[in-house]
Amino acid sequence: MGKFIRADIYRIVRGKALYITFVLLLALNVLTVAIEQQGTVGAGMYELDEAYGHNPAHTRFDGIHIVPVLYESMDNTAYYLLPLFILAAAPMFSHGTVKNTLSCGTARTKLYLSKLILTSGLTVAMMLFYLASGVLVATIFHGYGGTSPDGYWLHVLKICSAQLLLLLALNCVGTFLVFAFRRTAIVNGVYIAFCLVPAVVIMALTNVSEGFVRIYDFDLLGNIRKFGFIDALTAADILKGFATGAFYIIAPTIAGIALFKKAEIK
Amino acid sequence: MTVLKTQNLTKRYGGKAAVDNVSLTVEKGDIYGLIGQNGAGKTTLMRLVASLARPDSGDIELFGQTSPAGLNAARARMGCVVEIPALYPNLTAEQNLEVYRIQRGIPDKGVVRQSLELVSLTDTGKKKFKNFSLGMKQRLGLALAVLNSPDFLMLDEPINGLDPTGIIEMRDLMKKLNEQGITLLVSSHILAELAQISTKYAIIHEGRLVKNITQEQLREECKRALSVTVDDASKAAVVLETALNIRNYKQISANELRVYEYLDNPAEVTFRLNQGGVRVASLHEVGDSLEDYYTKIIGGQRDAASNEGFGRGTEEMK
Repeated sequence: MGKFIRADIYRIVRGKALYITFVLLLALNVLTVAIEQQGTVGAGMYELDEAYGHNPAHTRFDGIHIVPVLYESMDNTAYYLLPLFILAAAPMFSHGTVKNTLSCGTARTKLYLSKLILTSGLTVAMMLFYLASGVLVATIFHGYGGTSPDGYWLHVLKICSAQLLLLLALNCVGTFLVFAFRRTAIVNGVYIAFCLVPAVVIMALTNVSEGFVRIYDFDLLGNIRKFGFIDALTAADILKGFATGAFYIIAPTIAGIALFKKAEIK
Repeated sequence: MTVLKTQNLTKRYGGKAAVDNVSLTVEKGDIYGLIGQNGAGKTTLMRLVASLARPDSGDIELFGQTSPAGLNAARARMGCVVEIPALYPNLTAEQNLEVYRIQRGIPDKGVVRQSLELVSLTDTGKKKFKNFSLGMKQRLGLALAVLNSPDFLMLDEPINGLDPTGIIEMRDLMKKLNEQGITLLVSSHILAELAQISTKYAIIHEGRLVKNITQEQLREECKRALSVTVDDASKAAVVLETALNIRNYKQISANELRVYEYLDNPAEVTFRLNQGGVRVASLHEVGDSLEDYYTKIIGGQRDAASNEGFGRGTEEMK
């Protein structure tokens, strides 16, 4: 499986799409810092400062204090995953190169899993780049911010690890969509709908009955957002978040492999 | 040794059989020409062998392997280009082959260069695959197919879209690969295109294998001759040898001979046979061009199909 991943990396680093995605992510961080500088202080900023005994009035969005803003808006990175799994898995369908791979006796499960591992690796890289570039941009604008409070980075690690699990689940959904629909335009549409529609539907349902708000506990993007405030969550909320992540990792992967094993390759 | 054997292989799409009970055997060292019109089922057959589609029924045996795992292992000894060569448009020829060298776990980096040299594509430099001509794409597809030094090559319409020089180059290349010990299964919709290299042919029409023939049999079928029907073929043979000094003939049956000489003077043959006491019932020229032969085979199948399907007679179809 390693040779499939290495071959894909060889191909991907020679294209432009990966670099464009990361430049856009950098641009998002520059915009975030610029907007926050104008006074739109993130809620988590106060929460963090209060938790660690700092005075929010003195908050500057320097290298350290930008971090809560970044993980609170981690759900936005869901859209940056789209070009990554499209880049990793879709070309073999759009250019027909999957024929070259399968006709040499490659097991379809192995090919699916190699793509999943690759896109997962890109997801981790994307998240790290998002956080690191955010800190870098804020540091360039406002400095690093001195010494971080005790346990600060551990707290950040806890939140980001939980969010990463959900981003990986989102990646599993995206990879499944690529193998299921194969056409980039359809994958784009379905994935964006998957990210946007649940929140809208839940909102509409809550107008009918408040009870429907519980569905929100199982919304993938909603849970990424919620994990940004992990200290404010109950153990049950956290468990529901992890269960949602586990479901979206396991179900699309099993369905994707089953579908691909039966698929006719044109 | 049998490289590929299909037994009653069938693939249906929407109730219509794209490949219908096809049984063929490709032996080691063959250049097996798969001939058929567009849509006859050649590509579908290749897709089944390459595991790009699953058969509805029938068996595939590749290098003696029949189980799914065994077939997958056997496919590692195979190279193929099914339909148009599919490669990454934004990569160069060398980069494209390097992707597959890594993917197939070939440790020798030199194979990329060797494969490009084989198809004369070493001078394409930074030109990307998307800017290649069709001929260059076909050649790069072949370079990819031979990258892992396969024992069996399956090429789908490799001559399609090539100019006359490209066709000659591709034929020479296929011959060269065959001389190196590679068995080939090559499809085309034009029999004459494969006639110069193939050792065996299978003619496929509307999903069915309608004719399996060797190069020698094909030559025999297509050889122009005088078909002479007489009362005693043995006696006629003696007359032909003694009176006309004809050596190039063949006795087909007790009453029929094929004479490959005197095609421009059949009256002389009739006269001499009569003179030698042989009664000539009929004498006419036989033998087709490759195209005529192919059309006759396909035409016959068309007539048969129309008789079965629509109850119309052959005459009506003509």
